[in-house]
Formats: sequence, structure tokens, C-alpha cells
Amino acid sequence: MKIYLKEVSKSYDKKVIDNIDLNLEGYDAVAIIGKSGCGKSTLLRLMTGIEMPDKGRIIVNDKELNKSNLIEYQDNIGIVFQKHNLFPHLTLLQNITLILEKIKKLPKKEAKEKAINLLDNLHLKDQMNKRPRFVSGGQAQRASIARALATDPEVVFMDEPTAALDPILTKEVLDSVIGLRNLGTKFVFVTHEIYFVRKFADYIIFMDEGKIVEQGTPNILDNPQTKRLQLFLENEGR
Amino acid sequence: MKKFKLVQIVLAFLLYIFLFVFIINEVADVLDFTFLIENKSMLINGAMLTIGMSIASFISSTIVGFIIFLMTESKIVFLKTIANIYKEIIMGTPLLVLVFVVVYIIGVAIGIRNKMMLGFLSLTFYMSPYMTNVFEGAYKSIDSSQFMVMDFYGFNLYQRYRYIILPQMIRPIIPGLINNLSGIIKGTSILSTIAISEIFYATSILSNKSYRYIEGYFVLWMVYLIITIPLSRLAKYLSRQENY
Ligand SMILES: Nc1ncnc2c1ncn2[C@@H]1O[C@H](COP(=O)(O)OP(=O)(O)OP(=O)(O)O)[C@@H](O)[C@H]1O
Ligand SMILES: [Mg+2]
Repeated sequence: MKIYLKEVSKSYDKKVIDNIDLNLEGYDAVAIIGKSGCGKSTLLRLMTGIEMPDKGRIIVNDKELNKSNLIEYQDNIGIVFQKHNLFPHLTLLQNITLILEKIKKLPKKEAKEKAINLLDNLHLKDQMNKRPRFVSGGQAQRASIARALATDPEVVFMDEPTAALDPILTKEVLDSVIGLRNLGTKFVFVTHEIYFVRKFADYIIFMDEGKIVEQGTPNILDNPQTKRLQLFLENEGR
Repeated sequence: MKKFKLVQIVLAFLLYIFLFVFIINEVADVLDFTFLIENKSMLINGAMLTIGMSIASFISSTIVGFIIFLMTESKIVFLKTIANIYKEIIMGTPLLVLVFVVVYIIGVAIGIRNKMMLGFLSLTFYMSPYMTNVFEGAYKSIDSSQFMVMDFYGFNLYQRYRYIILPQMIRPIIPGLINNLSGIIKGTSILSTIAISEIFYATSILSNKSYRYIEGYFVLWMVYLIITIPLSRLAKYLSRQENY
């Protein structure tokens, strides 16, 4: 999938995304980094069509994203957020089968098989009949990754999927993500875990105050060209 | 510490019992409940009517309240406005006034004369906005991130309510519904003004005949409390239970 942002801006009370141009074509794991409040989550919401830009265009496979083709685009992507976002009244398994059965209209048996398979890939088979409140934060987050994968997305967008987790659970979730990348899923993700970015990303976008300040291969972490990225990396302490 | 707490609770109860006994003693020398016992079938029928009327109005006001709730959550401004006007009008009207409006204006206009039916309609109108409030409260307790997920996967309106919203509303509405049931039971006493022989009306008649108002209204008061206090305790208990 070709995703291309052209002169995209978005304001709330103030300008949050400031005239961003970005081409994600050809990368398998794009990391968006930057300090808190610089607009990473907003950029991700724009890229996933959850919000529309005030100015500029988002072009997917050579077609501008608009209300009429939004559903088709969102059918082909997955999202995972900081908080797990699972439906609290459904078990981990039901959270996935609901989407497959009722929205994607898969036959019941097929939906269940597929859901169990996905949960198994994320080592959750023994937890699948519990509701989100009764599993750990890491398990819930992995289940929401499984749900994001259920619709066979070409790209999965993740916004700090481990921000709410302690280091052990963070490692557990990130290891699963690495496993998925090896299976061929593409990712665009926001994270504060710089060591993970080094290990996982093949393209890095560093943002500050709504603008992209540096972008490129993981090399830019070793050779920051700007003072701002240098400072950011020092502050992250790794 | 725990023991001390218990002592305080017992003391609080004793204070109330003392007040009851004191007041009753002040107003009456001899209490005579025989007239109530002699006419107990009339009282039981009254109580039955109160309960029956309450349950019927509870069911109908829940249904009407739910429809009004759906309208207030609708994206169609016309429906939303109709629902909001309805809520404002009814919630601004005292039940006693509403009963007379229903009997002398609405009832006449639509040609209903049956006073039971008119009483039932009054209570239904009166309680339905409070039922709507209960539904709205439960709806608001659903985290906004879930709506984002539903948008993302393209849930339609039916799928939203059927699979996500309503199942999560059931538990949080129960305490509110119980409290409203209690409100309806108390509200039925107003129907005595249109001579519906529920328990309040029955007791008034008996007290009038025997001139034993103190005993009559005291027993009546106790009957209401025996029903409403357990309901309110149950609602409190259920609202403490965690929702998912
Ligand atoms: N829905 C909104 N309404 C108003 N302001 C918003 C909204 N969403 C974000 N903002 C503001 O936009 C700015 C960027 O927010 P954003 O969430 O994109 O930052 P972020 O880089 O993801 O930060 P963090 O690392 O803390 O998650 C912030 O100043 C934030 O307060
Ligand atoms: Mg963010």
C-alpha cells in the first residue's frame, strides 16, 4: 500500500500538524519519534483516517482519501492504541470473533478458528475466554494487536502500544510485534522505546512542534543532523 | 474500632425509635388499630392495586423512557428536539398537576374516561424522563475510545446498540431503575386524588370513617417504607458492584 501525505496541516486550539509531507512507500516498519505533545498521535490519527486534515491531502494508492473511500482504506489497515481499547464486556476471543462475524461476515466456525489462531500466535490461547479486566495489561494489549490483525491489514498503525506497561510486559508485547513483522505484517508505530526503534524500524521520522525535523534510515539515530534530535536522544537516555 | 462503629449504628437506630415513640405518645393516648384489622381486605386490595399500578407504570415508563433516550442520542435534530422538549415539559410539572392535566385535558381530548387508564398514563408520562436519565447515565459511562473502534470498523447503528452499547448498559441501569420503581410506588399515592382505590385512598377512607387518622396514616407510612427502603438498599448494593 502506498501512503503519501501532501502538505497536511491540522489545528485544534493551536496548530498541531504543520504542513507535513511524507511518503511511506517501500518501508516495512516506520517509527515516529519525538517528545510528548509534538503531534505524533495526531499524525497517526490523520494517517488512519480517524481524523481528517484541515489542509492538505492524504493519498492512498494514488487516490485522495475522502469520506467515500475511507471505509475501503480502513478495511485494509489495523490500529492499536496506548490503551488496549478492547470491548470490556466481551472475552478476548469474542472481541475478535465479533468483528469477523458481524462486520466481516465470516461464517461462525471460520471466524472462531481464525480468532483462536491469531490469539495463539500471540500466546494468548489459554487466556482467550477471559474478559479484558481479568488479564494483564500486556495480555490485553496483545489481544488488541490480535484484533487489529484479524482483518488481514496491509499495515498496522500503533500508537505507543506499550506506554501503559511495565518493562517486562513491554518486552513481551514488543517481542510479539517483532514476530509479526517476520511474518510479513507492515507497521507504522509511535514509540518512546528507542532501543526498540533501533532493532525494529527501517525508517524513522523525528517530529518536533508539528513538523518533521529529520527522517531517514536508523542511521539518523547515530548521526543526528539537528540539535533538536541530538537533545531528544540525550533526554531519552539511551 | 469496629465494635465502636456498631455501637454508633445501634445508637442511631435507637434515636429514631425513641423519636417515633415520643411523637406518637404526644399525639395519642390510646392507639387502636382494630378498624384496620377489621377492614384488612380493603387494605390488601389497595396494596395490590398500588403494586399492580406501579409495576404496569414501571414497565411502560421504562419503554417510553428508552424510546426518548434513543431519540436524544439520535443524530437527527428533529427527533432530538422532540425528545428534549418532552423531557423539559414533564420534568417541570409536579405529578399532582400532571394528573389533573391528563384527566381534564389530555383524557378529554383523546376521549379516555377510565380513571385507571388515566392514572396509569399520568405515571407513565411522569416517570419516563427519569427513566431516560437512567439510560443516558449508563450510556455516558461507555468509554469514548469504544466509539472510535466502532467507527473504525464501520459498525452500523443496529450493530452498535445490539453488540456493544446495550450489553454494557444493562448492569449500570439496574440501580437507577430500582430507584425509579420506588419513585413510582410513592407516586401512586397521588392517584387517590382521582379516587383510584390504591392503598393511600383505601386508608384515607377507613380513617375518615373511624376518625382514627393517626393509626391509619402511621400504618400507611410504614407500608410505604417497608417497600421502598429495601428497594433503595438493593439499589445501593447493586450500584457498588463493578461493571465489567
Ligand atoms: N482532540 C484534541 N483536541 C485539542 N487538542 C488536542 C487534541 N489532540 C491533541 N491535541 C493537542 O495537540 C498537541 C499534540 O498532541 P498529540 O497527542 O498528537 O501529541 P503526541 O506527540 O502524541 O504526545 P504524547 O507523546 O504525549 O502522546 C498537544 O498539544 C495536544 O494537547
Ligand atoms: Mg500520543
